[in-house]
Amino acid sequence: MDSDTLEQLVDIPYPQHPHCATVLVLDTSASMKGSKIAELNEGLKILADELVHDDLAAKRIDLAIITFGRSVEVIQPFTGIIQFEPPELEAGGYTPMGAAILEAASLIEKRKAEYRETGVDYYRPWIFLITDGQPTDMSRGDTRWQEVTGVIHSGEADRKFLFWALGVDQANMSILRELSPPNRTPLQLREAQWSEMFLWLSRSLAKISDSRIGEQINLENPTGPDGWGVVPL
Amino acid sequence: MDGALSRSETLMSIPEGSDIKKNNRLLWITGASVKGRRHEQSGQPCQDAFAISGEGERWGVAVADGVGSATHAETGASIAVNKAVQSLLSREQNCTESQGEDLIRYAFLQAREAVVTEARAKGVSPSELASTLIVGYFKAGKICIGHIGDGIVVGVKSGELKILSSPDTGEYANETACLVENNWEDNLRIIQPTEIDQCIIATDGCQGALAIRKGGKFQPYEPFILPLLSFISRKLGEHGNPDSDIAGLLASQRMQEFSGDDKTLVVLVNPHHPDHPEG
Repeated sequence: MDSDTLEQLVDIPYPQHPHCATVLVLDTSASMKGSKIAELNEGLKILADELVHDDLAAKRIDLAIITFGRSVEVIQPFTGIIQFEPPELEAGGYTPMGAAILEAASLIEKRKAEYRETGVDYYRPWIFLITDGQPTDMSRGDTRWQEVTGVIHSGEADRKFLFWALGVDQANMSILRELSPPNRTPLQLREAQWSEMFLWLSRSLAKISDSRIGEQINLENPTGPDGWGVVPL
Repeated sequence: MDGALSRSETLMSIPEGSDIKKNNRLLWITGASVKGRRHEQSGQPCQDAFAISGEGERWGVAVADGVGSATHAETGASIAVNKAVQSLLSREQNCTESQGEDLIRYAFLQAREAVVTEARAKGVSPSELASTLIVGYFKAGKICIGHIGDGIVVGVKSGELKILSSPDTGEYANETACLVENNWEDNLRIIQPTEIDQCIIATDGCQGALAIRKGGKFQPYEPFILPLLSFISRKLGEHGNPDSDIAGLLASQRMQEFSGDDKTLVVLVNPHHPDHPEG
């Protein structure tokens, strides 16, 4: 044993990485046709490419994609970044944003239950909503509106997930502001800054997946002079 | 503080010739703290700390992990462990088994007060000195444990491994309970005196090597623990000092790749158990 070091004697188990469930809720309604859907598809490729090259994020981020347009569809169930193949989204239909948000919250709860069942540690999940319009499946004050805002606001308050709303082009920022948690102002994409937005998203996810106990996550401010976003007044 | 040894530097070890190993045959204690790769890269200090104090058949051990976001985490962790072991032994005289819980609670109360006082002196919020804390009180072959936050305690009795205290991480991976929180008493878990032959106390940088989760429950990881304890017991039996071996393991590339966190691992060996060379 004299020649053996402790390092040689012990077996170190394969590290169990904590996972971070992230849901992208993407608007694929008819108004996204043309350059916007092309930019969105390109953005997903950028996101996948950036994250796959980040060692920790590649192991820890579980990504799901929900689209809302012709229908609400879980176009990508939760998958690891290495297995993730960016989909080619097509635009069409209305904007059933409310149902898509509810689906995202439900998907996250199911995923957390799976983590608990299998003994996987996990970070607080994230929902990123990207839209260029306004919901067509709910109006301010109606039952669905109450349900959706309730799910978002209580989800944040009860620390079930973090919700970000990102508006592009003609997005109704007033609606997004009311949907968003009280302390989280929705962000508006500056023109032609799609790739920067997805780069920010990948850096944010990389930062989250590398966060330590008790750390405050300070995401980059996307609204600075060189940022991709503005806070609508 | 009689026989007290506190650790707050990188690659800490108990000095050769300390009372703990040379003169006291009622309990051996060995351990090390090592700065994690994350703090190496950022130039931050090791925010783990441990302290040992005692004499004869009674010993106190405390291990703390400073919270990454706290600006004085290493100070908080160091104060917490030193005050905890000091309090254990200043209070304890002929403590009965049933009083073990009170003793542990007292040590946490004192440790917390000392940290809060230091925060006040520095003019900062106590959360800037936040840390986890594990305190073990060993007497007459039994260990009583108090635990706030993550980290882990594994005990061995008659060759059987048992998790004595599991990490309490809250729902999310980047959250844990801390000593300085107002509701610290709600988060304090006390494990009643338990007979041990050997015991390992470690911070979260090591906990994944000591236990793996199966079906949501932590289970001791024997391929790591058994060779470790066997090596240490044998080296102590040969009057060697395993501190540098433990430090070497914690600083090894494999362990640093396993976790970038600071790592502390302290081992208590009761030399009178039947399997020990000197038992």
